[in-house]
Amino acid sequence: MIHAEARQRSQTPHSPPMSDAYAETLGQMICLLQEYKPGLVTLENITRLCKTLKLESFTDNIDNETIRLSTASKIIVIDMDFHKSDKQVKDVKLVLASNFDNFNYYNDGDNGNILFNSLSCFPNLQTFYYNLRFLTTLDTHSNIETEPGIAAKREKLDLFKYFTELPEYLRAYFKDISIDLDIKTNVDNRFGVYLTHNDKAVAQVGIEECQDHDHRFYEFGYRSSGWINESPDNVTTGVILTLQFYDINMHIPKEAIPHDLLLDWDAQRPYTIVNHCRSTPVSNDFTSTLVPATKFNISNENIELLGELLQWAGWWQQILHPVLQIIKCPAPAPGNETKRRSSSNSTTISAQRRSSATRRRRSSQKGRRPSMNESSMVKDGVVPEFSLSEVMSQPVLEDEDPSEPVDLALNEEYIQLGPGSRCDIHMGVHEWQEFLTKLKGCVA
Amino acid sequence: MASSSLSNASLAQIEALLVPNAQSSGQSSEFIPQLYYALHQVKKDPNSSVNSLETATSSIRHRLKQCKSHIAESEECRALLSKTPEEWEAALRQRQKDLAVKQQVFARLERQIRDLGDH
Repeated sequence: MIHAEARQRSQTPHSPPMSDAYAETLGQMICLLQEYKPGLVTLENITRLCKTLKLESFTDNIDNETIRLSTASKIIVIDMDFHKSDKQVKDVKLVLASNFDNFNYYNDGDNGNILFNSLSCFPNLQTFYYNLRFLTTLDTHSNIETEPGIAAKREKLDLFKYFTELPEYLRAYFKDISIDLDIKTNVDNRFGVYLTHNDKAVAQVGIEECQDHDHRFYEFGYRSSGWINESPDNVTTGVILTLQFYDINMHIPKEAIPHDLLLDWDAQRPYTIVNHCRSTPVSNDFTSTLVPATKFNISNENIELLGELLQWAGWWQQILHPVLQIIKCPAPAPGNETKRRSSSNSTTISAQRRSSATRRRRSSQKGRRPSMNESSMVKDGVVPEFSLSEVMSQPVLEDEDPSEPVDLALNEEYIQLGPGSRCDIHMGVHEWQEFLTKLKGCVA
Repeated sequence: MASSSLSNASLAQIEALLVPNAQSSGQSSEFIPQLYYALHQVKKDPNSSVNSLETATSSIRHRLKQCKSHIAESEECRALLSKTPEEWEAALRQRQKDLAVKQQVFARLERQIRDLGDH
């Protein structure tokens, strides 16, 4: 599907100098504690969060009833007004001190003020912390001119602007490559670009800080049917563009994506293809191991991976995974690293008889079933027709199972059911559904 | 979360020490925000804020010490804390079952005594 070698690598491994290790570990501890329990909605806790994210904050008495907590960094200025009496939030405003003033901090749909809601609708500061971190990431890594006196910078990238334009680029891109997903900005009081299908969130595209502070992030926009970086000067450092799937069962072929672009994956837990469905012989034609992976680096030219990943996700979620579940093949439990190449451990007579069909075949055969093993029902459906090898290997006495099983061949890009039905990754959802219905009929 | 309906005095005091309350912040502020902020100060200024972690943790330690002494003083409190809420649910169900069995025994005895009286 995707050729690893052809992809240009955009990240080089980077380890911090020894002197930074102490501060970095402290930073990780602080992050973990903040994610775990940022605290109740109090002025003190909000100030603490702001300070740890390197925002300057101060409080002002606006009038007899209102106290204002202002917090600011290079670009963002957030004013949070609270009632003095009960310390409940009254209003929150976000202003950007850059040329771009069109940044949207309202929900898609109900148009609620995200920052206000994250202080008023939740029992603790978890959502507020997520949003504040999102804003400070864009702030810290935006490459803009902040002081007019200093000579103009050659390299520029306003991440607030890029984040705002990204959904439109994605919309045009999805239209061109026929991906049937909606794009929503800011959902459920959380900043982000969300990919949804029938109002169900499938994945999220985000801008995140990366380990390598020198990593260069270029502004890629979708223009005239291609992802283009208009100028090598539209660049900043220290962030990556990510794609995260919400399906925790998502697996990908191990060789499909360069490993340095996998942000959340586990090579130690391959999907074990074992057929537990006694009535259906399965041949394992996978040419690659399936490994769990939910998050990807799609920075720079790797943004082209987006289409392929979404196509794979559709195929995996709607066909491949359901089929594996039909043959009662679950994902291995954590720590279970046994990798099985042979596809069937079924011990029924019918499976033994057809054991020749369970050997692994080369991908070059592309799912074409060798006629030696092929069997089909004759028109009236009473007398099964066997190939020569099957007749030879069949026991003389008929076993108890009267219905002739249909072979199933599985590959990462296609599924073959018996000699006649086939379904592959490039087909549409409608054809996938039809195939799945047919398969359920045969296997059940 | 914070229910003020604890009838055991020691438990109520322990709750007041541990469970943060947005209204009465100050005496019972939360542990975790206190910790991450102290760590932040250590990170920001490793030399001059050596004490900040000590101060933050000492107030936490003090509160935990108070809790321990409440538990140590009250036998009833120790008994109540010896089981999780789920275990208590199960224990209560079991006790109700035992009572039902005893009631049946009494009812049977009552019947037998009445029968003896009739003869």
